[in-house]
Amino acid sequence: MSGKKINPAPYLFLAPAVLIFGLFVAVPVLGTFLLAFTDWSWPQPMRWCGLANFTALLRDDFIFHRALANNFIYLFLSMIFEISTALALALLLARRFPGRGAFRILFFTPMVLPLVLVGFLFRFILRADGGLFNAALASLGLPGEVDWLVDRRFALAAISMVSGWIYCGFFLVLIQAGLGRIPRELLEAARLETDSAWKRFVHVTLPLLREVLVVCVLLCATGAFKAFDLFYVLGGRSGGPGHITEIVPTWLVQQAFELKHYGYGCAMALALTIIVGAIAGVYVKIAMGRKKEAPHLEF
Amino acid sequence: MAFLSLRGLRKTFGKFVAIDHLDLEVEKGEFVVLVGPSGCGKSTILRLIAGLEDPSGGALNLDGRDLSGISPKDRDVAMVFQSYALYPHMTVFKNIAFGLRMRGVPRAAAKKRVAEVAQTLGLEGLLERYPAQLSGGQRQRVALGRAIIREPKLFLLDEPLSNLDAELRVSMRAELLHLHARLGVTTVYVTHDQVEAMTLGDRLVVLNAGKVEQTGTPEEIYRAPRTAFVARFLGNPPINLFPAALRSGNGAPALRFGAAEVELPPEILPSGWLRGGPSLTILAGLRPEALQLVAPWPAAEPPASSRGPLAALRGTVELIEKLGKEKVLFVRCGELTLQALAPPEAAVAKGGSVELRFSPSAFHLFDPQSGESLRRQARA
Repeated sequence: MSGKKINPAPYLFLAPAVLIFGLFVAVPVLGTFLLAFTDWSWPQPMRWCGLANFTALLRDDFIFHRALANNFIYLFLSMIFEISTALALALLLARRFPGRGAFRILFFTPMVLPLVLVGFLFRFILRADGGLFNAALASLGLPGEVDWLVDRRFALAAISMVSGWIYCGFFLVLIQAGLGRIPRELLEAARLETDSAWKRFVHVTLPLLREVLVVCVLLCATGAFKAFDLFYVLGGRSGGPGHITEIVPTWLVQQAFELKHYGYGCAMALALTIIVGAIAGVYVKIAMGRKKEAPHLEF
Repeated sequence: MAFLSLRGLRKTFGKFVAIDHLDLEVEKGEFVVLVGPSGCGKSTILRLIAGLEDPSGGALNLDGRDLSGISPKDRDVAMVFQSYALYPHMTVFKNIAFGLRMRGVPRAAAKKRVAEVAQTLGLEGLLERYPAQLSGGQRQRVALGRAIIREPKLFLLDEPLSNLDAELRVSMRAELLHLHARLGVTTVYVTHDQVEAMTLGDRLVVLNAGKVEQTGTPEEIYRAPRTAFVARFLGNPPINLFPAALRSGNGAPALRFGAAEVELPPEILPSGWLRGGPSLTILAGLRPEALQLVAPWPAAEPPASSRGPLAALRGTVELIEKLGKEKVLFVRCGELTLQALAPPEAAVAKGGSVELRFSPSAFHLFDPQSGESLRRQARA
């Protein structure tokens, strides 16, 4: 046996962080994983039920299916309202004009507001009776009296728009940073070849923003599957009439914390994690695979 | 009218005047080099010609066509940027073909043209690579390829060799000259490197603070700089510039600096200078190669261009820079420190005494206030 003495100092320094991480992250994650395979419903005793929760989730829980579909719709809409809008605004703000700095701050401001507050604000704006949005439409001579948050046709889009209003500024900052990384000469070289701003955008700017846009889409996707506050406040506790604004996290909270079906709720959380992880994994593999083909990190 | 004509060109950025009423004419097929220190406005001139900046005043004409209001794409100019500006997400093929594709040239025709250009520049085996997979010299060639593929009327090259190592820069200089000789396209080349400027240009335009200091062939400008700035800027090691008094010595005009007094030949005297008139303070310049080391190294024969008897200065060697093919000596002569060139075998040591001889006609004389040359032939 070697008589080499182990220096305890590094372990002691790491111990608080490991302890906090273990207590608040590792233990709950492990607990969720294990509970997902039980039928624990308060105050019933906990019993091991194998994959029964997952079978029920995938085969019988139509509200979960609806919520998952709503999550995907929300993801699609938020990509339009958040990333596409942010991209358009970033391109506009890349031009020099008076008040450009003020606009940047203005677009980012919603990010610092509490989501619940924003939710209540937009409930007031979007409500059918006396809502500001309907009043604005009426003043333009357009038909009003739509209950934007309850109407099956508009409810998800309305919440996605509110979400876009909040997060657009965040993606704007990311995309602006990406635009700032593009050497000016590349855009100028393109100006010598074509007058079309659209062609320059498609052939030069957009491909050079790809890495930033990959990150934006990834953040948007994970955010879309983690959304809760806004849907809870705007869509209502029960996901709106007929669960039209139900998403997996709101259904999960209802199952786990209101109906106290902890085992089932944990199974839903685990399923959601697997789905999001799989989507993110495939997406990153595709996006980064392309990067390998075009090693263009060096400017 | 010249092929490219810049008349009274002016560019301001806020209150900063980058280009100040600049006049320049470039003939068809000429290789003109704009040279000057950083911030003198040389790249701005290229950007104005390319249409990447709008002039604040003046006129630009290319091949008889007024360029004002014409978009960069329609000016029929191609530009090579200092950073090469290659699109990192495109292969070499796509980079070179980009201009043609944007102009709607059919794929087959573009492919054929790219193959021709690649052959001209020795890029045949690299067409499927990305810029990040190329060496500096190869990237530079791709940038040139992108410029020549459209067969533009005018090439604008903005310090294209500055990112290359010293060895590659020398070989690329030769390649650029060959390319220009073969294509014969009018070229405006920007550099801050005087060696590059002297070796490449049919004609140099020396710029300082947005103004043209002097235009001429490299030999003309080196031999007869019109201002102290030009004299200082061109030449390595730099010209020795020092204040001196021009006065009537023993009846003949003489230049006095420190303890030395050198009689001047009449042909280099300022036209306004009067024999017997008051002493005139001037800025005197002597190129290092005009100073011959005669002691302790055996005296060399005076160069063939020297006229009249040689003047001599004695001093102490303060510093020796060994460049391989020659030595640069920093010789202290009284209050002056002069740089002189010596052959590598010269047996000189730091602290040793030496004698420097020179022809008085080698003096460059400048007005200390305006910096303008006082020599008659320089001003003519």
